[in-house]
Amino acid sequence: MSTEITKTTEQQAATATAARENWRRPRYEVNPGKEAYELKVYLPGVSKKGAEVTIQGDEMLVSGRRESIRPEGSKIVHEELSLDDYRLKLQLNVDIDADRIEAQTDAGILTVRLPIAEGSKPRAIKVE
Amino acid sequence: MTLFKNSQNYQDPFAGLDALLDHFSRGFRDTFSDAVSGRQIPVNLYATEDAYEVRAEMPGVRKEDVSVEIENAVLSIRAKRSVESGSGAAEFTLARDITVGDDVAADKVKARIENGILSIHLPKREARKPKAIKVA
Repeated sequence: MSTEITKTTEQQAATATAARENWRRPRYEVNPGKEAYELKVYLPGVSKKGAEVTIQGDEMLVSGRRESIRPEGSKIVHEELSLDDYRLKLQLNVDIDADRIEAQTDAGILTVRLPIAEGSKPRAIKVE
Repeated sequence: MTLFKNSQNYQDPFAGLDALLDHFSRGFRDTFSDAVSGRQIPVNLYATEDAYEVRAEMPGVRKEDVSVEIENAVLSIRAKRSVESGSGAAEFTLARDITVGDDVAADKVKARIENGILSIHLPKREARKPKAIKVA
């Protein structure tokens, strides 16, 4: 298990149709919490090295590069798995403290902890 | 308040269509999969000169929760997966049976799991490998 978060400038393809050629949208779950949201993205076949989380403005991009699972010099007998890389683009609705984001991969699942920015937390107002 | 504004990828004109097709194929699979033993594990099968290779996708499944058995040329894979939801954890079993042919050396089968991918190596039996006979 490891922790890594990569911040790079987003490389965007010219058009959605051109870019979608070889990637697929992974399954994901969001668990809301008081302090942070937990995002789980299912990325089977992606190692720690291949996973990347980028946040730019309110846009979050999760990408996962799959490692080849086909043995060298083998014939395909039967194929059910899609071997495309993963890409998930999400629009954040909540202010996130980008400096404190944590991400880790385990057993093909990428877990990203997105702490809610102080200003966006619900505040109890005292009635005087 | 939800974390994301829009769960659909608005920039991708095909996202909606993809989701629809996904939904269809899932319904199709669910109908024909073995309802008793749980969900079917998707697999890829490869063959090399001296072995068969199975690759199965099972994110979130740990080594100790997978069992691989081979009996009468049928390879059975069982995996337990627990899914946490708001109300608690639910556990379900994923399963897949694959007929592998009788030329597999059952005692030499090896399996490992990494990054949510289960790899099973099934060597072919010596006697069944093609052998070059020298003409004397």
